[in-house]
Amino acid sequence: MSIFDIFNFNKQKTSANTARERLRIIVESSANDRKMPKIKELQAEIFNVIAKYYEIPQDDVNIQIDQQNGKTVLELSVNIAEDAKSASII
Amino acid sequence: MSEVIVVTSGKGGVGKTTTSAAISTGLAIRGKKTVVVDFDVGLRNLDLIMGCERRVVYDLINVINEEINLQQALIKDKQLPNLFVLPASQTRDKDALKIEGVKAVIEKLKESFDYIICDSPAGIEKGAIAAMRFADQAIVVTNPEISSVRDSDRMIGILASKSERAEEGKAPIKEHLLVTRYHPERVKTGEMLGVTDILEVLSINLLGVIPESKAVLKASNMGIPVTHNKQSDAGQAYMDAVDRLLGETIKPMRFVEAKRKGIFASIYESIAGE
Repeated sequence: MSIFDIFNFNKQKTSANTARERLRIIVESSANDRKMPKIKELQAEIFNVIAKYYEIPQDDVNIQIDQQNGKTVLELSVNIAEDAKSASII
Repeated sequence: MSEVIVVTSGKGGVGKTTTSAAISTGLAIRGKKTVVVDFDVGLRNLDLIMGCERRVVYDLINVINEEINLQQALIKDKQLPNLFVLPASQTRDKDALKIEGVKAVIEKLKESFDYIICDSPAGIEKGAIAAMRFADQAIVVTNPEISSVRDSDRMIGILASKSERAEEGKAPIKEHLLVTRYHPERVKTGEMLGVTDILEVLSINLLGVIPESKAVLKASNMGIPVTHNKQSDAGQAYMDAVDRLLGETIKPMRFVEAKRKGIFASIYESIAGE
């Protein structure tokens, strides 16, 4: 216990809370992968299509599944940097 | 010239992944272009320690199987522009680590990196062998605990026989010892093996001693390698180890002597470590 803990009104900031939140996201996403096993494949295929045109790193394509009001929402975000090289595929 | 360094131990839970993350971060802080590769196929954790777990789709196995090119699989560190992570696969098993494929990946990484850090899985099975196979140097991570020291001794033997360097009759792998979770006070009271005891058994070059530290758990919680925590004892000890790896020999070992603590030191420690 540190001196900060005594005066720590904002418990959200502890490192254990960060760990808890990170774990929650991982567990949720692997549960989603089990529920919808095709999502990873879909993400991979979308990435491959984009990679045909632009050389981008893998983490610039992001797919997230969220449950909102009983509906499943698929969110796709693709980040193509302005200086991304065109892929050299003939 | 690029250097391939395997972080290995034999025994699990001694701090291989923490060390891989901390050393590669330190090398990148010192301006070296560095990639850290997770060889723990099936049970990857390096991505968590490096804080990039949400960005992984492709991994080492996809690169070995040529399902994606290497450049695209590398995940760029959020803070250091010259640091990259190549994650392990979570779904495949160790049989997917084809040795020829690993060789091709390492050769390719050598073209663009100064340092290639291979985070070995525990054990002496296929994953561990693949991680050390093409190494030029090895960091053997050891806890001051009898079973860990014995496993390290076994690992040193394997490094000397199963690596490509050994099989091709080249100069052997340069081995370094890194003692982690060290508790100088307990060594002083005779409850824990000291560095000299460990060195007597293992007799390899001592790269560093990392003290037991609150900062290490905090670093894993946050996904920020402990080397970034420059106030922490563990962060400083890892940075010293990095400097020794880079050839600086003058630095004396810190954090190996039990210290007499005053009230202010205790308070400072709990703040820095929190």
